[in-house]
Parts: sequence; C-alpha cells; structure tokens
Amino acid sequence: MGQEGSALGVPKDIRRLSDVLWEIPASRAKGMRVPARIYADEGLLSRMDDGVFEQAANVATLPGIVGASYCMPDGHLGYGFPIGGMAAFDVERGIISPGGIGFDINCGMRLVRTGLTLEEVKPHLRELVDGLFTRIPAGVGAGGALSLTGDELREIAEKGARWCVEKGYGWEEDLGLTENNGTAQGADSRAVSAEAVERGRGQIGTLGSGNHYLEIQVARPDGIADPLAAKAFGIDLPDQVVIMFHCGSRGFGHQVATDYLRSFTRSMEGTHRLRVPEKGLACAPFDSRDGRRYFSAMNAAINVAYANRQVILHRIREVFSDVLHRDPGELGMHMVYDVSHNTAQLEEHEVEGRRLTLLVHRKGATRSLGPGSPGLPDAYRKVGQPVIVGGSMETGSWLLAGTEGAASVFNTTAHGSGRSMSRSQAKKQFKGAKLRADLEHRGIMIRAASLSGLAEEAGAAYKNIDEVVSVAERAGISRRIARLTPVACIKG
Amino acid sequence: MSWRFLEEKTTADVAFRADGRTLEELFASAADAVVGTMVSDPLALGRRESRTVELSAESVEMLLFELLQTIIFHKDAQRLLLRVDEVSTRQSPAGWSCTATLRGEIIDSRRQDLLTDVKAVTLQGYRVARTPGGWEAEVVLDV
Repeated sequence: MGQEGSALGVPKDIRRLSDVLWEIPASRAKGMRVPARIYADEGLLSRMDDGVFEQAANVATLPGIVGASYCMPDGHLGYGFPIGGMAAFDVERGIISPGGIGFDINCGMRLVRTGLTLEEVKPHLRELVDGLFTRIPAGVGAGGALSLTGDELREIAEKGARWCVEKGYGWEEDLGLTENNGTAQGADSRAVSAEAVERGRGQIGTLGSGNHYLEIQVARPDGIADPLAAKAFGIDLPDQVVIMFHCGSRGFGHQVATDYLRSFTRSMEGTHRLRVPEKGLACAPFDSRDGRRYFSAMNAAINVAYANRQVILHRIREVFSDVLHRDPGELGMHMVYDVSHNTAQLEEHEVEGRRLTLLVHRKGATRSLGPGSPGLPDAYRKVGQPVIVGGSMETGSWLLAGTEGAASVFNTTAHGSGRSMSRSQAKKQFKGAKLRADLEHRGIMIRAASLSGLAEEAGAAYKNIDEVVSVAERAGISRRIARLTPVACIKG
Repeated sequence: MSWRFLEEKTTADVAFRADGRTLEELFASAADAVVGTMVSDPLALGRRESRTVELSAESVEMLLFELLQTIIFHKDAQRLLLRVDEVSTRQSPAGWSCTATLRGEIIDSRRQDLLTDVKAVTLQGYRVARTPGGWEAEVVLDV
C-alpha cells in the first residue's frame, strides 16, 4: 500500500505493507542489509517504544541476515534485539548473538490441563495456591527445590527434561509435548563455565521473579475461539481448569549469556572483524569456534530451562494430588505443550524457492508451526503447534495455534502482551497490597514473593493482550484457540 | 557517591545512574544500585558474611561490569546479598584490576524486603565516564 506512518514517535519513513505489517526500508540507515518489519495495528504501532524501531533497524545490519529483521506485535524496548524481535541468519555467512536470544535463555511457557472444572477446584483453591507457593520457590535468589551436584547439573544441561523423567520427575508423554522433545541437540556442558553451574545448581524447580509466574486459569466457554482445535489440545470441558507457568534457565542461562556477551565483546572487532551499531548486539560468526561454542552452551541452557519447567510440573502434580487426594493421572494433569520464546535454533525454511538451514533467533517471540509441520506431536498434526501467549495477571492469557501463514516470518509469532509501562512507573502508580486486595476482590487469588514486584506486574503496565493476538491472527501468523483467565496467580 | 534509577530509559528492564568522586566510590555506589534493585534498603543489610574478590578487565568499563556480575553471581550461587565494603582499583599496561571486600548477609525474605531478581548486567547503553566531579556510570540491568 505504501502508506506512510503518521503516528507520533513512529519513523516518518515507515511504510504500511498491509493492515498489520509495517516496513522500515533498508535505505533508511547506513549498513541495513534488509528491511525491518513490524507487526502491529495503528494503535499498537503508535504506542511502541521509539527504541523498538531503532533496535529492529540495528538488527537489520547484522551479517548474514535473511529476508528482514522482524518485530512481533508485543514488541518493546530490549537490549540488542527488541523484545519481540526475530531474525534468521545464513549459517555460513551469518552471526549468532546473545543479544538476539536474551539473558534468560529458553525463557518459555508451559501449559498443563486438568480434567477438573472450576466448580470442583474452587473449594480447594486456597490450599492449592498455598501448596504451590511453598513447593515452588519464587523470588530473589530463590533456590533449594532440588539438591544437585555440579556434575548432575552438567548432565541435565546435556539431557534436558529427559533427565527429569528418568529420575521420576515427570511422565514419558511430557517429553513429546515439549518443543524439541525436551532436549536441545548440540548441547555441550564443556562450553559452560563453572560460574554458570554454581549459579544454577540450586535453582532447578524454581520460578524466579520479575514477569515469571504460575497461574491456575480457567477456559471459560465464552473464551473458546475454536472448539475443535481446543478439543485437540485437550480443552473440552466447560470452565476447565488449566495451569500455566512462565520461567526459564535461571542463573545458569543468565551466566552463559553473560560469559559469551563478554567474550564476543572482546573478540568481535579484532578476531572476527565485525562491527555492530551497539554493544548489546555483540556477536560472533556462527560458523566459527566462538560461535559454535556459544551455540553449544546456549543449547545447554535451553536444556536446563526444559528441566526447570519439568520439575515445576512435577511439583504442581504433587500439590494437586496431595490436596485433592487423587492421582495426577486420574486428575487428567496432562501437558498441553511447552514452548520457548528466547532461543536461537537451526531450522529449515524455504527462501525464494530454496530450502535453507537457517539460525533463527527469537527473543520474546514464539515458534509457530502450522498444521502438518514436521516436529509436531501426532495429536496436533491437524491443528498446528500450540502457542502459549502469557498475559498479565489481570487480563488473562491465550492459547493459540500455529498457522501455515507463519512460514512467511520463519514460523514465528508473538510471545506475550508486552510491557507498555516501565517498572518504576508501575510502582509509582500501583501499590502491591492494594493491587492484591483488588485482584482478590475480583476473584484472583494472589501469592507474591514481593509486593513491590507485584505492583510492577500490574495489568495496566502491559499492552492489551487481545489486541496483540488479534494482530497476530490478522497477520496470519497464529490463530486464537482459547482465552484463559486466571483465578490464582503466584508471582516471583 | 550516589545512585538513582533512570525511569524513562527502559520498559522491561531497570536502568540506573551511579556516581562517585573516585572510581572506588563509583564502584561502591553502582554495586548498591544492583543490590537496591533486589532489596528495598541495601544499607540495612547485615555484615555477617564477607568475600574478597580479585577482578581484572581490559578497560575500566568492563572492570565495573565484572564487579557487578560478581554481586549477581553470589546472589544465585551462595544466596548472598553483598555490598562493597572496600575496593581498590589499579591500572596497568595490561588493563584494569581491583581487589574488593564484599560484605552482606544471606537472603532471607522474613528479614529483608525483597524486590526483583537481577539476571544480568546488559551492555545496552552501558557507559562509564569521567565527569568534572569524578566518575559516573549508566547501566541497564536485565530483571
């Protein structure tokens, strides 16, 4: 359409490519190799941080980038890449960058269903929430869920969720319902520092803090957008109770990212002759010793995150079983899916008629495989991959499905509602104790490791999740299946 | 020697500016900003635990980065919230180094008003500079 952007703060040279896709042309800034494309409607675009446009354009300067630098509709200011950023790189000419993955490597979402309705759970809700809050440590420096040696954590780093199932922390079927079957290939714990192991050793089975949470949610009949697909995902009871949680690789992954950010900062210009527009994009050629070593360490962190979420799932099943005096199997506590939104993965994509292996960085962006895609669990082959989009504790979250149309953006869609207000602003505007009381009055039970942290996560600090998933659907990169509303929330 | 959060610089992360008349003061105030992101009153922390660290880096910027990362490392690895008690910096042809004594206490939510976990020091807009009054740093933390 070629229409110019008119909203305040939006670059003047942005072009509207469709109802919900905008492009900053590669001619905008020196060094841009491809355009930067942003998924948004006019409202979301006008409210995006100004820095998002600059960061998306900076990503477009990186060597080996294929197609475009993308930002999802929940995009906001990050470091290096914007949050919501996605870029695919040629494996021979391209780079790998910790700033395109995030410090919380394999931060992701896991959704678990139950065979219970809200009516059945409601009388036990307080006991369930207290049990979960006790058994799943949350907050600053939370640890102590499992006692592991350094060697055991290194084993986890290579085996991922498979290690947990072997040790009794989960069911075999959980693995098939986890992206990559719960084990990222190519992990090598020898590429991980002793500091990363020390930081992560006591943290498997812990939630963390910030925007990490665990919610008991309800799939209300009026929130089901596609009953057939919802049924395929196991959501088929009126007011069915599900559990959603959001966390990552904890200190282990944070240290891996830090170690390689530091290392790439040193080697980038001298050894690799690479220059980037800002330090947050420090990188190495993927096809180099430095790049491959980081990829091995990052995959180790991906595995640690899968294991972390697997142990948390095990604790959830234990708590429900203890409180309701029934076996978790009898309670129907099967996983719907586990999917990351902070990774770089080797994937095959078709580009201009050619099948290429690309390194796809997603930072605050979710893989979205359409129906029939290889890598999908058999049960989901007809409907596509479950995409779990976490919203704020006040507004609820969405279960989406991947679409064929997502192939146009390297099988990627949004990951959450995206912040619209800084943490300091949120703390000024909201008080944790009052927010908790208000939410409880509205039927959302809250347990928080920090009331101040709770205030930072107020619903008004986030974009409207319905608007975000609607844009993703109109763009054809995922589609709505079920809206999930919280009745209890545990915040780190 | 002081620090304050920069409210408009980030959306999801935490940014701060710290200063000091000397490099040592800057390092101590920047470390307090990191601790102050995780607990409401860093000055109220006890001094029961002590760790001495030797750090080195190619530049003064990266030396501060190493010190702040050390604070974050101890928070996860040993569940310690540590402040800088003493620090001395040195410059040599090879770069910069420092010796720091960190003191603090074990994380205990019953005694401390805990806030937000700090994951890492980012290099987004990261800056350490001399000023007419001494030294100043701007840092964005991933939380």
